[in-house]
Amino acid sequence: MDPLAVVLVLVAVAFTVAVVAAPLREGHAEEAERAHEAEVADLEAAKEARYREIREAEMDFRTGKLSEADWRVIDRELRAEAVEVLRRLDALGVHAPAPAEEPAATAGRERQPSVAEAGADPAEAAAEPPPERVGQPPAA
Amino acid sequence: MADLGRGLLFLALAVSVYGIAASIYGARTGQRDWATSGRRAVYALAGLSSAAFALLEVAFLRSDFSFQVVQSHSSTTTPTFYKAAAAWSSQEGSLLLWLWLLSMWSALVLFLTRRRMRDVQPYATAVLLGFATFFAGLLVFKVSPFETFPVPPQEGTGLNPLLRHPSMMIHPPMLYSGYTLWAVPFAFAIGALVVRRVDAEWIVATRRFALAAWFFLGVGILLGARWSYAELGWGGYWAWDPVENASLLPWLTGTAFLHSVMVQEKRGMLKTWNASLILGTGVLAILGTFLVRSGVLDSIHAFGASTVGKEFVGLIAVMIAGSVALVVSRRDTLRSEHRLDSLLSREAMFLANNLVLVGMAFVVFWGTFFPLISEALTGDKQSLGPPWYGQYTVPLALVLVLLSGIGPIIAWRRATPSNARRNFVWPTTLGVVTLVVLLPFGIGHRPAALLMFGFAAFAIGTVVQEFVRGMRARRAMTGEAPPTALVTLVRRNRRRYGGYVIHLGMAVMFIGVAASSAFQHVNVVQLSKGQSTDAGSGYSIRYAGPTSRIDLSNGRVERLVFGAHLIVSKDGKKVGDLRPERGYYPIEGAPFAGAIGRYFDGESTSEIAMIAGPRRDIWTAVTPNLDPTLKIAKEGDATFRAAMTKMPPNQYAAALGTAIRGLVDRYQRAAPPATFRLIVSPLVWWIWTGGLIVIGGGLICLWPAPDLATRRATAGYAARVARDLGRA
Repeated sequence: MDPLAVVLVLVAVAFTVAVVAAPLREGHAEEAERAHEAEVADLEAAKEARYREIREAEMDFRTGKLSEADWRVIDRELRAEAVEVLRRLDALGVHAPAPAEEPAATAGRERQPSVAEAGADPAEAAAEPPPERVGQPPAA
Repeated sequence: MADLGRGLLFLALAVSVYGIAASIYGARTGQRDWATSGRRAVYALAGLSSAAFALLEVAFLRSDFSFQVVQSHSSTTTPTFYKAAAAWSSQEGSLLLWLWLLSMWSALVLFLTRRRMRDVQPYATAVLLGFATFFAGLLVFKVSPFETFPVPPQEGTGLNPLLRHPSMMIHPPMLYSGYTLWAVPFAFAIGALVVRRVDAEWIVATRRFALAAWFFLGVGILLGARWSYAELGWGGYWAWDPVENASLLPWLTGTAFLHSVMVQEKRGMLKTWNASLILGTGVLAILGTFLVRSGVLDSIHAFGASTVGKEFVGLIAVMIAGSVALVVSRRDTLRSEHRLDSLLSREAMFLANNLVLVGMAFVVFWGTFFPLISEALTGDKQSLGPPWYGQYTVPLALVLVLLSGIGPIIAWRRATPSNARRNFVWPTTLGVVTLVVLLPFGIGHRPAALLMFGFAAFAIGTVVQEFVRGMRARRAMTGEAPPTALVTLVRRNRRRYGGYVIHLGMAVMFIGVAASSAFQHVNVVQLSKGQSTDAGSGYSIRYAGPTSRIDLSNGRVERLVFGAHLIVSKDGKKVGDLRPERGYYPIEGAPFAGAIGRYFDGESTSEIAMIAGPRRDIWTAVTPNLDPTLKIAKEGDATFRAAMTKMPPNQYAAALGTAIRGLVDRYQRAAPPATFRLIVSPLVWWIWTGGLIVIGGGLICLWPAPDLATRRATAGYAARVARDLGRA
């Protein structure tokens, strides 16, 4: 057997053991921190998903693929879900910048501001006028 | 070097087994450090398999014939470009490529999701490492790429000439990337089902990987079709060959999955269907690898006998049994949150699209495995040809193209008459006008093709309408100029508009497929020098004369090439020249082959020639009549056999070179009539163009979104400016 190959295989074994054993040596204090990070990451992902769905629902409404009644129901449901996610983020001590929470802040109002300028961030869209269907009178 | 390779593979196997145990132990006991250790085993596996694959590539590039796999799949005359690709032309190399790609994609997805779905991830890690264990086990115990000869041979047998095509550099890694990437959503689906977390989160977390799998598999299929068209010498791009079908199966079910997950994300419906689809797609991806490597079905792709068929059957059986058991045991959790409101809704269209795609997959599956089924039932192995596939896939494809137009513009939940008027008028008009305009051109006798043109025009109309409406909506809100509005619209809605671009590309492709299938002219003729023939569609082809040459590589004869010079004309005007050829590769490692005859005893490949364009392709292949040449070669073999012991080696080699040169030149002077395959095929160019559009759409979908933190900060500043301006 090639001695150089034996040495290189032993180096690979040492590298592998070092990589896989590292978490077992680090202990549980860091693990608690990572668990917190993971929960925050899951909630952030859920928040982004809700925002994206809110934007897409409005885009569907604007391009005539959702009736206004359906859009309002969906929009209200999604905003309620977004509020819940933001509450849970707050409870974890994560304070997202105010603009990013705009969809939640407006949830439950009778007439909601447009957050969905064709995929824009909620903050950007918060300053936009209410949605109008293209080529049609403004929605009642 | 071989010892190192074997050591790395054994270590890869060991770390995979450890990772499975650590992940499951961590998940079951709640000790996250073990689960993290399992995840890190995947990173280590990626490093080890990368090193092993690099070792094999180096062996091929150095033509190190002490490696058995290098000797049997490469040679010193193989161009360097193809030496690198020769690694995955072998069974051993392709299995190592599978392991390497799987480990890289697995490491990437587990790194990106390391802070998410911590309950699902350990099980997903275990499943991914389960695949790795299977492939590493095969490489260690069954088909090692690091087997060596005690005494290295001087020369290799060379790469199969059919594989010496540029797309072969990319085609297999693309297909294997597709196959291995399907393992990612498959593994996360298993994890989600195990922990009963069956909301859309696992779909969102792995969506990009599912898209990438679909994309790479699609690119691989397209490159394979191009290779078939340009290299195999029969003039078609799709032969319903078992190995082609094997790649199409997961692509079809994966396409269905990518559509139906949108219904789950939006409405919480089709959870059982989506879980079943992705589990089925994962099984079909392994089945695809099995068909390529097992040789269980006769295929033009069967480049070598396999010894790993039984192991693959075992893996597939475990995957099917496990998947069915999981879905059945979780049926309560998988219940839909909503019901279908109307059959005239986008949800219903997605469902219909899924049924068509799965129906197509079933047809392809049945046709592919029919030889085995018929053999099992009757003892007689019967194959089903393109006409059988056509009678089912053509109507299904028509419905699919129509649905690809309806889907993007029909309303969610329930379509209303006003919605229909608003969204369907212009695309429908375009489709009908296309039919009416095309009818006078005499294509009514091909109703399926005619309908396909109309449906494709309708689908293209819907995509254009969506872009125009989206752009106008964007302009109404922001006042941007049209080009800016269009770019921003796509940039901010990549999945939606990338998907529309894919629909556009598929419609263009189907136009090409329909036209080239229905209106193709094929002629097989024998021509003498100076003779002409009618090739169809008004084109005339004249055999101007034979051609021949010797191709050298590294100072040695790579192949002898015999061909023809053809002149194409239409209405008396010259359209262009064509030079189809056939290359003959010398047989290697055959000591009893004749000195000259060995140049004709090896593999031969057709090098087609064509004039391609948006309206039609003129495609030609030649089969030269080498009977007189072979007769002379046989006489030459006897002469050189007698001279071998009487002449000094240098003199012998020089005389042999002169003889071969003379033989090749003689063909040009006195070639007998040659046989030509001539094809005039309309709109084939549209297939490749449509494919490129699909690739463009796929890239739009896959392109990473701007960094979240940057976007949030920018949004914060923008809102602050808006507030400050409001106060001023």
